[in-house]
Amino acid sequence: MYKQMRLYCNLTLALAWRDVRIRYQLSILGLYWAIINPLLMAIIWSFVFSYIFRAKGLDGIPYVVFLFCGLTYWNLFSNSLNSAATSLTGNAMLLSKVYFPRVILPLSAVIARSVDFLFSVLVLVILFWYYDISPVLNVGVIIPLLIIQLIYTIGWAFIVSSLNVLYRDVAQLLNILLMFWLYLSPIFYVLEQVPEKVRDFFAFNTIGVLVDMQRNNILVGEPVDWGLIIISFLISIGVLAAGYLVFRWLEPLFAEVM
Amino acid sequence: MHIEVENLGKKFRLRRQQEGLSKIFHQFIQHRSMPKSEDFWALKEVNFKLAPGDSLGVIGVNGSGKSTLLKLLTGTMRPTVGKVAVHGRRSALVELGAGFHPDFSGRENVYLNGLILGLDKWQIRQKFDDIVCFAELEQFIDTPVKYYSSGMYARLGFAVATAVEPEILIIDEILAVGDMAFQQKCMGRIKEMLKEGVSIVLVSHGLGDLKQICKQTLWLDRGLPMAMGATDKVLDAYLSHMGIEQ
Repeated sequence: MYKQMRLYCNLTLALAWRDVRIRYQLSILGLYWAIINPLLMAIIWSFVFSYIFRAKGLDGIPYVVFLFCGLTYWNLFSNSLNSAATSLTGNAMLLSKVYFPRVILPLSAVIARSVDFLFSVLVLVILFWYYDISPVLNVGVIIPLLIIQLIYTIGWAFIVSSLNVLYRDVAQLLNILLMFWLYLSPIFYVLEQVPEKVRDFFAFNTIGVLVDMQRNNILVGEPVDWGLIIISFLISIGVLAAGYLVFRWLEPLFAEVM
Repeated sequence: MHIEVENLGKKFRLRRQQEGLSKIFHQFIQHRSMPKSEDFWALKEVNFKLAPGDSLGVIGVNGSGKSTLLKLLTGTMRPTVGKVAVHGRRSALVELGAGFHPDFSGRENVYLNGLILGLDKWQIRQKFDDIVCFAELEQFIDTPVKYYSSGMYARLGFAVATAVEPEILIIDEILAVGDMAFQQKCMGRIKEMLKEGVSIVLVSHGLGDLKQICKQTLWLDRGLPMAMGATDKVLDAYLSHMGIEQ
């Protein structure tokens, strides 16, 4: 039993590492893409949003840092889901071999994207240094929030990966939905800018709330609302449980439709 | 018992041309009803037991349910009715090298495949030289496998799948790969494994292979077992049945 668990852990990590290498090994700039990609996005978006739309971030923080910090967390979520969506269909050949718990594949997709996240954090550190900002490193808040975000992400990863086996449209649809979701999350703006009438609805956007709390806590040390954290945690656990159930429910069909 | 199969059956829903939403929608508009799907039994009422060191051949024309039976045995598919109990480490020689990633070297693919088949990293490291030696790929092991020939692919696939010390080996028509010399080598390896107590299920159209490896043979026809027993007898019955049909 213990041996089996360790075996599956090894397999998960090996598959995650393989994902990371597939993404970067064959390109000329390799792992640098994990840094260049989000940085270029942040630069172009911060130009458009702060110079043209005159969006406001947090006081005392350059908009590009504000945006990049939010995107770092958002990308961990959205890239994970995009990778997870095709994690089963893209590995059909592995699935035909022998049985291993299929949840390993979406899990490893999320872990692989966590590596990107670490690189993104590295860029963030460089930005802090460049703009001479001292982030508030409240580890007791940041780490639990990141864990909650990962739980939430894995739950959705189970759902999109298994649904995509049955309907390949899911991966396409997901792209569009994630774009909507991004604009409806406080990434380009802060929650205070949202008109009060609709602000309450934003509380249902768990990933938006999580990104907002993490970013604001790191950048300006905004105190966190523990009630909100507990609610987010409960929702994340719910999503994880639902995702796992959906996955297990659809799993017998995988071999038949692939 | 390594394998116990009781009253095994697998039902498929016949899917018409990827029943996409748009198709269902069109049909719904035209007929005012949801499209019906038909059921199809790919396999029915299969029973057998396999003790350690025993070997079972499976024979039948195309579409008789052989591959379905193998998928149920590897555990990638679940039965609709009946029971499949497989005790011990399984390894499958199905589409050799199919799990390899083309951009990675032979070395990396050996490790990943070993992990998937249930080995630890250090166990793979121990067997690594044997695997490479058996596949005769010493010179190319650090080359991405996309540059391999199909024979090299299959050789490496066979070497990994048999090196993991399985207790049950499931083989789907793969002895036709590689050149004569390598086929001989594969056959030798399989016989060796039988002696060591590995149970083998072999699907093949090669009657010679079946006779060489399998004590018993199961003859499937349209999902139903037609006969099961000593290989020679079943093969004779199979051949005469084919003769009558012609």
